[in-house]
Amino acid sequence: MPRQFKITVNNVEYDVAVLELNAGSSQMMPSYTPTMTSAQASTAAVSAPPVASTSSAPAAAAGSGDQCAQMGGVVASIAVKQGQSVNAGDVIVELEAMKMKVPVIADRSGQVSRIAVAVGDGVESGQVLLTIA
Amino acid sequence: MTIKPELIETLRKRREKIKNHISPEKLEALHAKGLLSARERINGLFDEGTFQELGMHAKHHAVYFGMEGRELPADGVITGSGYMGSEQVAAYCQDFSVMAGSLGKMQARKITRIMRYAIKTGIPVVAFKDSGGARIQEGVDALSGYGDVFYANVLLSGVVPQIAVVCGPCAGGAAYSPALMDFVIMTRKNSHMFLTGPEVIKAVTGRTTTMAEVGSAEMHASVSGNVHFLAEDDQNAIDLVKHILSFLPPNNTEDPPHDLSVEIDDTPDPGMDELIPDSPTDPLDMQAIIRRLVDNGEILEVHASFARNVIVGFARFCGVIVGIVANQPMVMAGALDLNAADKVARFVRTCNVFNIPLVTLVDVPGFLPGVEQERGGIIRHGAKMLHAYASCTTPKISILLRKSYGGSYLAMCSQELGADMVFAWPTAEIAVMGSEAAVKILYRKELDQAEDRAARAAELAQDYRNEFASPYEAASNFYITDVIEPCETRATIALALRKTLGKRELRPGKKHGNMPL
Repeated sequence: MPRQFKITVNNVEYDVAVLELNAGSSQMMPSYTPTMTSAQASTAAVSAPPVASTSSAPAAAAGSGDQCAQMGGVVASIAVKQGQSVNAGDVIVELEAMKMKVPVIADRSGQVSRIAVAVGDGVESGQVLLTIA
Repeated sequence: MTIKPELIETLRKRREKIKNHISPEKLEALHAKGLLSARERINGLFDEGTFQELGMHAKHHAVYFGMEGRELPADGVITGSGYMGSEQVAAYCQDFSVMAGSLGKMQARKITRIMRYAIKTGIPVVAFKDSGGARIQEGVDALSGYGDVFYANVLLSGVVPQIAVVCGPCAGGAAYSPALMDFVIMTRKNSHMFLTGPEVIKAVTGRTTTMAEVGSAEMHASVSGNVHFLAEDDQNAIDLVKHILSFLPPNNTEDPPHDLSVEIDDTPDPGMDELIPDSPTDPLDMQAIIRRLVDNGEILEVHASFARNVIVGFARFCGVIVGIVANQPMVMAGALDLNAADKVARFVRTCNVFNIPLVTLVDVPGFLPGVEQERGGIIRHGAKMLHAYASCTTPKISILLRKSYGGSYLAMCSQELGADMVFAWPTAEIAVMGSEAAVKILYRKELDQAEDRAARAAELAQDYRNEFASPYEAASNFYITDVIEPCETRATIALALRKTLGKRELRPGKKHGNMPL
């Protein structure tokens, strides 16, 4: 039975239905089931949306081969093209943050299979920039 | 007249039984995994023939759960001391082949005895941790044993160097002993360390996790920061122990083994100039700078893969041993964050207790702004750096390479925090905040009235940078010792170190400062 929640993000209300998959186990150990207080709920709502991100896709969980931003910033340049071969250690993207160029370095060799951002995009720390397959 | 031969025979048999209780097949299996036996680790550490064992014949006194009469060679831990060159070092190694190296009361007594020996004689302690945990059969005696070891760890802390080598399991409360020591080495493949492992985490929280995620050497070296050095295998760990000790004094009353016979070379190094990028927004590679500055280009990095936006480690300048603290602009623009602050503060305090001078290389754009940083307590963590540097009484030499802004500049050992000498490159930008941000506040009205706001702001920022963010503004206010050419840096540091080595600084007597933790 899905539970209904009303969540406010940046003053916009969303109706959300959540289906709890392991409801049984949480009943067995009620003391360890975190109950969200109203204070926690409101901070969760505040910190949930990407801050000033112009990219439409929010930061998703990084998978294998994903090259991520090491800190929040703006994409200053992208040094590779889709399908291009890169070597581990190559600078693939340059971010601008704290008025510094911040190089993003390939952690593996391979082909660029996806570029997820464009020059000028604001990105968050941990956001996937491109994928090397 | 001579001793009865059977007495000698009995002793030899007993020794043999304790020393060679592992079968050759089992030994071979260990070696295949990159493991050494407990005795091999101890022997590998010391010069041949110099190890003296304490309590080889010690036995447990447990009787419950089938323990009565059970023979456990050396009660699962080899303790003693030996020589590394001219230096005596104490060591113990838990023996996983003896009841999984589990710790009971006797094992704890043996460990704390060798630790007390170390503090009495003023020598470092090396601890090989390879144990399944508490010897449950001994019940609360085992628990008490851990408490005794922790207490001894704290007693020794700040007196003699303590190095832990986690080369097997180190789980539950046992993990607190390495955490209380000065340096933790962990072997990459055969070790793990956690308070609660994947099974308990699953049972209690319902979350499925893996050993790699919560207990691997790699994780602790790069994410949690619990581990300072990652070793490939046991032999590599032993080599690392020797390398670390080569930079440390035997105890807190002695100086580290400087080689003052080395002459200071004052030849300029023009190659240094070429490492500086043209644009102030392009990051310089601090690794390259450090390797150009120090003797033989050698630095032993501590926490090398943790908080890589700062670099800390041991090196030498014309024979003088130093701790280096440096921002790394190639990673996260060199901004200071929660982990970087912890890493620096910890290292500075380590250097202070062992009388090691500090060389701080500054190129820092600021503390990292962010919701996570503020909510994570960057004020409290950043304050650790201030506390550590200001409390440190060893020689402190700071070099301002480029960006030196605001609180982060102070936190990187400015003159105010007690730096004995501060040298700036002509590229140094020392200011209370970035030029762009500063002009927004200083020229608010003028900018509001400007026709082309952006252009005027850029113009004012450039003027501000030229006027106030140069090293000469700080130098004219006598906040720095001198402005130097990059090519003079190595010679300048080497000379400054020689001159400040005799530094003595008295502070008000107190139990200890109240460092923000």
